[in-house]
Amino acid sequence: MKKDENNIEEVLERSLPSASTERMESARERIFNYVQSDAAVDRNAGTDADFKPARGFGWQRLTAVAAVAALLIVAIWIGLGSQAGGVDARLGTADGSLSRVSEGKAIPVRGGERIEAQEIVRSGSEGSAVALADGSRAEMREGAELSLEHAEDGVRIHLRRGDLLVHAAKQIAGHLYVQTRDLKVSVVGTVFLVRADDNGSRVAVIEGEVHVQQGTVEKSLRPGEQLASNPKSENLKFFEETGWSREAFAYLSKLHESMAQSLAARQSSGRTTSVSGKPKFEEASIRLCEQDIQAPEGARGGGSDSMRISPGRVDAVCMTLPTLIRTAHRSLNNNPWFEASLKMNSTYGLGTEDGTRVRGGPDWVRSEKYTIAAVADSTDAAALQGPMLLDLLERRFKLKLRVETEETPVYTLTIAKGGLKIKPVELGPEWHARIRAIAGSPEAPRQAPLDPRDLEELLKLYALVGCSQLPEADQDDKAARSRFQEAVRRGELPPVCGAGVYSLGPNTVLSVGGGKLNSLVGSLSREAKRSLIDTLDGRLVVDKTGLPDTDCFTAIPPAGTPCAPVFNIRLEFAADESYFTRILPPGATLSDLGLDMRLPKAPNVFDALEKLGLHLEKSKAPREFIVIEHIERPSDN
Amino acid sequence: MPTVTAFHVTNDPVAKEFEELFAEHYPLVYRTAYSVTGSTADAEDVVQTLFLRLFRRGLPSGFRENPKAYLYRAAVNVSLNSIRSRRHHVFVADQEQLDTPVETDVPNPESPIQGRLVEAIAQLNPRAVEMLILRYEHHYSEAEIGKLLGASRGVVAVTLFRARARLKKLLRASSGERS
Repeated sequence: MKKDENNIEEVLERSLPSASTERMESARERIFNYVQSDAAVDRNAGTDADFKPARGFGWQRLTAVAAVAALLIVAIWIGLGSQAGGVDARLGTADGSLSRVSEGKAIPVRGGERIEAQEIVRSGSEGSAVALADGSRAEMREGAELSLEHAEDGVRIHLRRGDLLVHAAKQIAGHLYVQTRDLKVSVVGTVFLVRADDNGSRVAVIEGEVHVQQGTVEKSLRPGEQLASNPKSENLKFFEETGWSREAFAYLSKLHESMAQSLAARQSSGRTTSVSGKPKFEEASIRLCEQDIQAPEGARGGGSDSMRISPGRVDAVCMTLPTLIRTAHRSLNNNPWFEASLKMNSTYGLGTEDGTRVRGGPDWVRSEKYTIAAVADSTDAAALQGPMLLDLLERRFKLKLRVETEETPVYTLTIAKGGLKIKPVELGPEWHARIRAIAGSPEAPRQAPLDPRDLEELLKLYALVGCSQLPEADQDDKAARSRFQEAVRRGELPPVCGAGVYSLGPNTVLSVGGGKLNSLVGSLSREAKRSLIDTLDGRLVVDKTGLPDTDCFTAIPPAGTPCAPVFNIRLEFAADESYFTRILPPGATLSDLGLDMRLPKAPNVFDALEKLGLHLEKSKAPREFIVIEHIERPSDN
Repeated sequence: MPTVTAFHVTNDPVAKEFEELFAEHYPLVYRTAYSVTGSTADAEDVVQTLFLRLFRRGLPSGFRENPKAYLYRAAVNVSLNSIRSRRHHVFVADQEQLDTPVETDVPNPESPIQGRLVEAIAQLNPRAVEMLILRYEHHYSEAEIGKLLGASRGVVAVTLFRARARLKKLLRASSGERS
């Protein structure tokens, strides 16, 4: 066997991820329990729909409680015996926060204890869940009280107070009932929320269909619909009202899926027609957000101020109007919003608009937050995020906007009087021509996949750019990798390919490896709000070097387009002292940041740029802002 | 919410068979999923998805003839699907302090070989991945791989040879190519 072949075999032997037995076994019971409980629900429901906790949410939470739960596994069951139609109301549950309520006292349920029919159980401070043997599952919010009872053709959950999310398995013969003081809900397989309190009861449907009976009046509810025994009570806000559930995101997703299916069904039946060629959301729920929502554990998106674009859907969670407008509006001159294009199927934490891009409007637009779920027959992420979202805001908030231009303070980056001291990488026209020949171009796009020889040649061509890459031979050598990183950090090797920013002791280093100068300008603008907030006063940095700016690496432009010169740049400057105190977590010290503050301070950013032949100076530039001319609170859904 | 639902002894024959299948094949499925995805969370999701489907849909025809092969192949395919459709939580506002170079428009060549290997494996033909993981994670011989997957020893050898060559190219490309 050839030497190269041996190498790849070695890589596979040494670096293929291999699960440790300990880790694997620690997950075994947890997965088994989860799969078995969920499978029972869906097997009985006869559906193949995945309905599991959102990734990075459910499992983490389960993991976090696993150690506790392992000690709390109990086998409580309600002695109803076998019921007609194979419905067995025995409970199989493990729960550390369930109590039986007897004579006004709450007594924790212990392992092996039997709970009789009609005995009231109450969920503790962290909520609880019960699972019926038919696969149905009921999640109880903190303080919810219920009992289980016989029914003529099934089982009845008697909800005495509190919130209950019911995921009812498909009943083979009979019904699952949920009874409150004034409403009776009967289902044969669905997901719904029931609330019972002193003001009455309310039922809201997430999936499927439920029948609600109040006295002699009976009504069917479908996804997104709700009914209250007291008409004066406020509508439940789905996201907020299910936020306590560990499967909140799954429920919300299920609700939107159901609404989208409902919409599709109506469209196919010809009842909904497009009134114009302009793409619009066909259905949208806009709700005031009563309190902020925490992002799922371990994720930065998903809580308040986040948005997700998925095929046919936009979900915005607790966002202010200016943030929504900023997200939907077109690009503005000299007013960049980094990462303005949201990718499909990613959840973005978007922060809140601080007046940098959107101005005007009444105070409430910056204090009130809204959760929006909108569905449409579109898979165009840019359209969903941009014109369609803007159209929705215009219609529902009676929004009127205008764009204003204003001379604002900026810093301009120009070539210094002595000329540019950094030299662009000389690639020559042949280099670009060869890249176009291999990878295709707008005029002659490549249809066939790249073969290994093409890849080899591309590799060689890109290597000519001269930015640093860890040698393949060192990829799996930790010590060599560490040496490489340190050499790059200290400037002993050219910058790593791509644009980067890192701290080096008291200094900040901006690096551009095989990139255009404008990458550095973008990095400086970001640093103006980060490690140079005092020095640059948060001002935008504008490129006035006059160099071409078309990146011929990431997208091959039409022939004849002047390409931006390619540089390898390392710019090291002293960070503002306030920066380190701002980033220190409470109670931490500078040494906790892992930075060697004994390293010598680099020159300030102005002098550091002069060394590269670049000049940064205060200036003014016309900058566009979005102004809210008119806005009203949204119309009802 | 400290809640774990635990179903106990059951007389349901389907549930019983499921329990036995899970007990016997869980290590194979988990290890395979972990090797392909390189992630504990993804591996757990794969195991969960695979067994959920099996339980919901019931055992497919022919399953009992070679459950190990079925589960193994399913584990590879579900893992590949998982890694190809990975969803990332992205944070674009409120820049954070970064003490290492950030990745922008090119893959970071400093990333550990394991991550690049996982990405490269995800680009292989599923059949090749099946053989590769059996060979290098489960340490099967070529003959054993052929027996489990119903392929001749020659086919296994050629597939593995091509997979290794492709991996080598992909790894090289990922350390130098521009996106």
